[in-house]
Amino acid sequence: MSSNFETEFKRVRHIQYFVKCLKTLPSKHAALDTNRLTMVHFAVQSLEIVGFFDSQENLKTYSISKEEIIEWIYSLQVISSPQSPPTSAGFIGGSFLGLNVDGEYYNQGHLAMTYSALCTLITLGDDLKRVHRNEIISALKYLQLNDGSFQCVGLGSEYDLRFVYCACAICHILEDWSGVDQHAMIQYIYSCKTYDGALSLVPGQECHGGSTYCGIASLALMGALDQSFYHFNGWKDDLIRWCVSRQIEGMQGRPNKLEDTCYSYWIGATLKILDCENYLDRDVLRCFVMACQSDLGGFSKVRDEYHPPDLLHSFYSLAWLSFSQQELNPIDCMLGMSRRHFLSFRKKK
Amino acid sequence: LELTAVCLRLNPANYTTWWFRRQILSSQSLPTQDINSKFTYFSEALICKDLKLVSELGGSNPKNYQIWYHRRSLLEKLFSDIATGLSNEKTSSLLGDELNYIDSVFEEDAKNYHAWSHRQWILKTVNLAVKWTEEVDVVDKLIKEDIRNNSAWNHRWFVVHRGSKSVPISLVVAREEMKFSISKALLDPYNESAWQYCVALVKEQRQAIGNTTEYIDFLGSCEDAITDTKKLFEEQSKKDSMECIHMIAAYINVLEMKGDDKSLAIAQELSEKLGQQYDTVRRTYWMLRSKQLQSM
Repeated sequence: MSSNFETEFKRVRHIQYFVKCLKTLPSKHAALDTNRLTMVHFAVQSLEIVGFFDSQENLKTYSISKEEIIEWIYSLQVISSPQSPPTSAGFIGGSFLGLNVDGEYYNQGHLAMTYSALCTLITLGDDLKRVHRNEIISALKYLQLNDGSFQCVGLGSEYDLRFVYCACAICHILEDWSGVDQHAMIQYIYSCKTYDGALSLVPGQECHGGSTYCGIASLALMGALDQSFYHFNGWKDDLIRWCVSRQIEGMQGRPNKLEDTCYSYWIGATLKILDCENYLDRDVLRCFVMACQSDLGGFSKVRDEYHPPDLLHSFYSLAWLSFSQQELNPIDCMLGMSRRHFLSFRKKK
Repeated sequence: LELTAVCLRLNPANYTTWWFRRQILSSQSLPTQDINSKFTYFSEALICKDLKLVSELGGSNPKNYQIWYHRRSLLEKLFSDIATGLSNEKTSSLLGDELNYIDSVFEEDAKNYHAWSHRQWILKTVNLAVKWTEEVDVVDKLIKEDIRNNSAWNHRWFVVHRGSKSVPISLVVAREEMKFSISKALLDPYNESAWQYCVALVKEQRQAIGNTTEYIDFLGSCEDAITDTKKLFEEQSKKDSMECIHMIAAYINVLEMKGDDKSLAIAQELSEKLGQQYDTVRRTYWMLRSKQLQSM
């Protein structure tokens, strides 16, 4: 199996694809302007998975500088002063409001961008010393709502499990939970349980692979998984049944929907957290994911010629592959970033 | 307003631009803001105008979080007022229009997650008995159009529970819901949505009324429905009902809930058969499930 993988896997093409994405994105991606940091996160994590950064030669050949990326990320950190709104700390998604911006009402950090920034910095070997930890942690207090969920910006936004996950990941990375009400978060996650055993994005809504990952990973990061399954007798069984039922060949995100490569990670990682990743037929899933590999590098969401590869599906395809392929550097299934770099970041402290 | 509209046409995902726009709209709305209200007041005229712009942008961006959030921000106060009885003809018509807008989005994609979230938010916010009742017809129609539309099934659960996550439905209602889902399962025994709905109904009553005779009766009716469906399927299609893996999975759930030795033995056997022959992509899961049932 392994030797087949290396011949099938278009490593060089993938490197070219992610490097290109790091440098420019085509104009139809204008809507991602506010989320550039997440795109960089996807590209950097993907390059790390394929071992790109391990070779100085690679960095020279493709003229990528880790330091340059680190500086760019730090330039997106909002500088909060006593006059800034309490929610302003964190990172902003792009330079659309300038660089090194002072925290003001309309210049505020974005939870998902802060998460992306921390993951990417760690993966590039940064020690986070320049991160405004205390301000970020205290901003969380103001972003959390009465029902336990989180908004992503102080300006106001939708609130759901995605941002609960971002908050948990941030607290876990910075080892500081003082800015969040864990109990309220846990109750919110419980309120997203669906009648068929999974989790919805908001209470009442349909079960979904992405939200299920966000909720389960959050509980795991809080160390609250075991108590949750103890509290809800039978839930773990229902959840496992739901997750494994999502496999057709590839994974679907909800019952009776189409297969999509990113759910390999959302569901695969959820099962990995539950210690059940072998419950999936990984050979069949691998076939599906590899069939979505593009000749130009990257992966698309489905295997047809109308869907070109995109950063999100490329990263999540690689992320799932990294769980089982020894030729790849694994992603941490709870944090969604390079496992080895996170561990060495932890050791440094 | 012109400027933000231009910017939004270029990038409808820029949340700062949307926020600016709402600041402008609210400052143009009279009377002035009630500082005690947690919702921003926008004048109805401006709401109508902006919904038009948003619908325009929404057309090619049906999955844009900021656009849906903007619709909600515009309507939050108005719809909350409906719940407290402070509504008028204009707000009722806006309510109808908004639900119709979501219907139009469903015509393009009956599973659009954002559209469903928005719809559920509206129903819970206005909390009108008549709307809850009408909604059953909406769900029925969508399930008729696509019996496998899991979003519609989920919405049925939501509507029947009046949006509550904590109050179970009564046994009377559960029986009606069981009738409904079994009738749909019969039309398409391969459909996971219908079978999971059945199982969930049984599980909920177990929680709600405990291991009572009524519950055992209800559980029994579900089991009978499954065995009847199996028989009918085999008679009509001449195929092995084990092929309907979601029906068999539901049957295993029900047998497990029965919990007696005979039922568990059947459940164990079925799990093994699924893993070995009929649902091999889940072989590992079914073999472990079979072991689990054996040890019970």
